Formats: sequence, C-alpha cells, structure tokens
Amino acid sequence: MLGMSWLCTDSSRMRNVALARRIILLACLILAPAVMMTGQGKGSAARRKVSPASDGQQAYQNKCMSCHRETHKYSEGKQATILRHMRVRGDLTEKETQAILRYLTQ
Amino acid sequence: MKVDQTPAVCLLLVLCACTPGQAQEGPRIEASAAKAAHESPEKTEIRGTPYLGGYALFTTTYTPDRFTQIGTVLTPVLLIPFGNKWLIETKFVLDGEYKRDANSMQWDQTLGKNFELIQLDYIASRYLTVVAGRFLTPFGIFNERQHAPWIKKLQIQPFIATGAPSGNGGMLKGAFEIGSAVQLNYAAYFSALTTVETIKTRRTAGSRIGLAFSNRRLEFGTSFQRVLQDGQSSSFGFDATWLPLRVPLEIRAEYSNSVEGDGYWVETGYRFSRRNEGVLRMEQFFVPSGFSQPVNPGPGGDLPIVNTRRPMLGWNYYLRDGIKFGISYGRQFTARGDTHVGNVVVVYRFQ
Repeated sequence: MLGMSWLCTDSSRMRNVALARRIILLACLILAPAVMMTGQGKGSAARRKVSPASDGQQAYQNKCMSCHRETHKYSEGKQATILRHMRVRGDLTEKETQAILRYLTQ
Repeated sequence: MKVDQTPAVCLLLVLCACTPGQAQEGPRIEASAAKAAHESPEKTEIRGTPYLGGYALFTTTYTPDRFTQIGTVLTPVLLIPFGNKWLIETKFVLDGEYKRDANSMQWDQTLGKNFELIQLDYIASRYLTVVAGRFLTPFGIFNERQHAPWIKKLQIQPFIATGAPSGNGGMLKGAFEIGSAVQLNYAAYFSALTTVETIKTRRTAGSRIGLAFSNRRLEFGTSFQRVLQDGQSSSFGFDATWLPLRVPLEIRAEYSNSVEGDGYWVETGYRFSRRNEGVLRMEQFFVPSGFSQPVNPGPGGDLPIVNTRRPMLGWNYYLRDGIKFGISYGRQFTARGDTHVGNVVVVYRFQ
C-alpha cells in the first residue's frame, strides 16, 4: 500500500512538473521576441520620425488594427453603431470608444 | 518523435518569424489625420443607425487518407442600436458542407444553421455593460475576438478553440483604465443548458480578466470556466497578444487546461506588404493518461483523443479589406500516425 501511494504521489508530481514546463514554455515563447527587440528600440528610435497622433488614432492603431487591417469608411450613424458593438466585443474603454469614433468620423 | 520533446521547435519558429521583421516599419501615422482629430476634441453625440453586414466564404480542407471537405458559409450580421445605451446584435450562420471519407466515393452533405449571437447589450456605466441572450463565450481570446474568418489568420482552428463557442444567459463585461496606459477588462458569464439545435449550449459559468498595456500593444488574460452539468468539471486558461510597435508582426498565444487535456497554440502573423501576410502556428494538445472520451464534449468540435502536435504555415492575400484569399498547410503528428492538413479559403466580407 505504501509503495502504491508513493507511486501515486510521484505520478501526480510528474504531471505537475509537466504542466509547469508547458506554462513556462508558453511564457518563453511570448517573451522571447520581446527580449530580442528590447535593444533595437533604442537604436531605431532616434532615426524614426514620430508624427503627432491623436488619442483616437493611437487607440485605433493599438486596439482596432490588431484585427482590422484597413480603415473602412461608414456613415457616422453606422460608425457609432459599430463602435458600440466593438466596445463590447473588443473590450474598449469608454474613453477609447469616444476617441476612436471622433477619429473615424472626422 | 515524442510530443514532449518538440516544444523547442515552436520557440525556433517564433524567433525566426521575428528576425526578418526588424528591417520593416510599422503602420505609419498620417500627420494630417492626427491634426484634424486634434482640431475638434470635444465630445460629439452621434446617433447610431442600424448596420447590416456579414461575410460569405468558400473553403476546402484536404487531409490525405482521412477526408476531403468542401464548405460554404453565409453569415449576415445585424446591429440595431436603441438610444445611447442599448444595442441588439444578431449573427446567423448558414453553412453547407460536402465531406468525403478517404475510403469512400460518396459525398455526404450537411446543412447547418445556427445563431452565433442574439444578444442585447446595455451600457450601464463606463465600467459595466450588461449582456443578455446568446453571446460568444469569453474563454481565451480566439473564440470571442479571432474566430471570424476574415480576421483569423489560419482557417483551421486551434484544437483548444473548439470548446463551447456560444453561451445562452447573461454576462457582465467592461473595460476601464487603471493607469495612464494600462486597462483592465473583465467578463463574467452564466450560460444555461439549451438543447435546441440552432442555439445549443451547455450549462456553464466562467470569467476572463485581461490586462492591456496599450502603449506596448500587449495584453495578457486569464480565463476560468466551470461546466455545471453531468460530471462537473473546471477549466482554466491563459492568453497573450503582442503587436510590436516597430514591426508589422502579430503574436498571439493561448493555453488551456481541462479534464479532457491541456494544450496551447502560438501564432505569428507577419505583414510583408499591405496585401501579403505570412503566418506560422504551432500547437500541441496533451491527453491525460487513461483518458479516452471527452467528459463534456462541447458543441463546437472535438478535441484530440491522443497527444497531438500540429505545426502549420499559411499565406493570406488581401485583395482589399473585404476580400481575402488564404492557403495553409500543416502536418499533424500523433501516436496513431501522422497526416498532412491543407486548406484553401476565399472570404468576402460585405459591409
């Protein structure tokens, strides 16, 4: 019996270790490119011309463009409806929603 | 080759995907548009009007020695706003599928129709939106944000994204700033058991909390779900999204753990030009030893019943925003044999 319980403990421990390995691996996969590019940002920042961007434009680029490649032009009314939908779907804050709506209806 | 020994391959895939991207520029900011936006910063009240859009697609998937599948999907999306705080959203999916097994000459036809969404949104405050009806389950990022065919990078879904796509019940949702460039978003939901074919769901409850660093275009999230029927079980997951500022690269990853097993996917999409995009995805699914059948099989699809590893690569060509051609190829490795997976898709989004 004692031997069996040791086996069970080892088995669950091995499973936990395997689980931990997978989580660590996933974290590495995500963070590795970030680490690679950390040093390059400094070098390229001086060369890069940063244009002034509105809050709306910035929010649009940060949030919307992760899924929508192009800015499609809608009427103001439709744009307001779509933004209300995206506020729920895309987890936009109220401030971001207003800023993006302002930007897209300029 | 053992499944556990190969995760290093996907690390290499990600690193390779990053390296060539460094010479390219990210999305450019138009100075004139920014100037225009600055000129009238005051809040404008615009009345919403109904919107009818959607998409149609043609797709074919080929898996030698297993099956060939040809499918067409038509999905109208209707949004109807009421006042300043209410919105009705509906999304109906009509799909026809022809499937032929490798050992058969006969094509089986199926016609599917279901509501993916019929929800009523009420914006209660800047911190809270109340959702009632049928909604997309916010477990991880793929199901709620990435599953639309014109948005997802590869038409074939990751293994762990085939659980319960929609829930029938209620959801509390919101997003707000907790710092100058940090936002917290959350969702908590309850779904009732429904057996009607077009709106089928399980009885579940769950939540997702996300932390978005908007200046770095980085988001992390964690999800939890409890199945409240049959053999009750819990599942949890983590997700991450990163869109580097200086490279037209997108990296997404998700991990999920349930009694049916655990798995992850990591996907990178790189825009070589405005119209061309290359995609790499690596995913694995691990089945607990002694496990043979899903305890609570979701309506969205089946999880593998043996340890499975599937690297995939694909190419998307955007004729314009609304038309996308995609081609992808992968190889699926399991203890019961390996196989190729190929897919071609054409998506037309009407808006």
